Amino acid sequence: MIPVLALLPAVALGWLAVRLSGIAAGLRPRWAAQVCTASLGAGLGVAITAADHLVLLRLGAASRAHVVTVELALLAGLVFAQRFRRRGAAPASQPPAAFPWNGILLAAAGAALALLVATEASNARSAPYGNWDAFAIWNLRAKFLLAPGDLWRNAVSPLLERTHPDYPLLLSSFIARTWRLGGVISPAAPLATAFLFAGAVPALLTSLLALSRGLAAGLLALFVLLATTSYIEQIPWQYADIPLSFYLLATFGVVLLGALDPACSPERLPPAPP
Amino acid sequence: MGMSSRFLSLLAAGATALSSLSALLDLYRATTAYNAQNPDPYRIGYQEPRFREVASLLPLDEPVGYVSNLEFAELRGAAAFFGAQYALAPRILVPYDHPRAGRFTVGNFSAEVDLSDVTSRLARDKGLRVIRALDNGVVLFRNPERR
Repeated sequence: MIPVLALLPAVALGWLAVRLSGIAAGLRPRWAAQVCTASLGAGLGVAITAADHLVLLRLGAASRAHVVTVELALLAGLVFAQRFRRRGAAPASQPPAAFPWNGILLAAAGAALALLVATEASNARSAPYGNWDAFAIWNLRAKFLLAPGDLWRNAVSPLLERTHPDYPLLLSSFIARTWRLGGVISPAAPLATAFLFAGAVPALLTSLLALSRGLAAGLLALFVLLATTSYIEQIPWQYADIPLSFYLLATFGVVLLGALDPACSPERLPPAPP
Repeated sequence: MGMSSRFLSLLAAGATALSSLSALLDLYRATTAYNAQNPDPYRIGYQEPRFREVASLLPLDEPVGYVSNLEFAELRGAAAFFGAQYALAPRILVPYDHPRAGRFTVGNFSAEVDLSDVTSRLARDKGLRVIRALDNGVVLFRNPERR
């Protein structure tokens, strides 16, 4: 349970940072703007805390106390900065017209998500260590990053030629940071990380489309995503493909949010020069 | 929106939702059936307790040799290697005859070999000294030629 709780500061950090940017401020429906902010924040929080863990390793200061101190300082700074956050421009964007059978789609989405949760619960019980790349690359490298002193550098040793020492360290650093905070190396942390991204992808996809094209479009996109079982199968594997897909989606999502920003509507732009 | 368009959009949305539910139901059934028959398919959860005693004897700061009766090129051999590597991390495992291998070599043997036979043969042929041989197929060797 503690490793799972150790995810919370990361998510809170990312949420505060995205909220501060005001990227979804003023967009309607409000729930979609909030889900979008939270899901973008989850991925950003993972990135921030993985990066600060790597910096602490580089400085030779990656103790549990230092990780907690840095994250609390970042949290405090972001909470303080909220007073300067960009508010939603008024008037807010008009919500797209509602599809008459949204209730049916919502019920179906609830059933689909329940099936997904049941499937993942079975996977988590049966194979908590994930699949090949999890124990041979990502989580293995996280164990190296927990080594005392300068031995964390062995995570990128060319002697690990069978486990791709050239692969990026975001996921491994985040898992190592979560193990460090939780004080125990258990499969709970990488599993929770996998589920965090697995939840953030459909949440972000649905909310982005709900903001731009309405709830029905968001739910239809969710159905298409959940019907892609070759993608869904990867969630319990704990591979980097799901986080990568999140960051790709987030990149396009941020561009879309910029286009939806009421402050950027044509009537608010300065007149074109004659 | 005309009556026929509304009907068509409802039909399309319903078909999309149903195909998703159907795919997820199939996945749920297949997953639970597979998981019931193959818990922890690569046996990673067994490796940490299996290597715990040997891990306590190994240094962290030098590569550890690795030897097994299972070939790395085969799936079982690769799974055995990565299971051992995961259990022994942050120690780096390299093939026992690797020039960078340190003073110690870990043997990881499957149940179908005679452990005492394979251990004594390796010790004799490769000049290794047996430090610890555990019933679970894990053997710790020392290479006297390496300092």
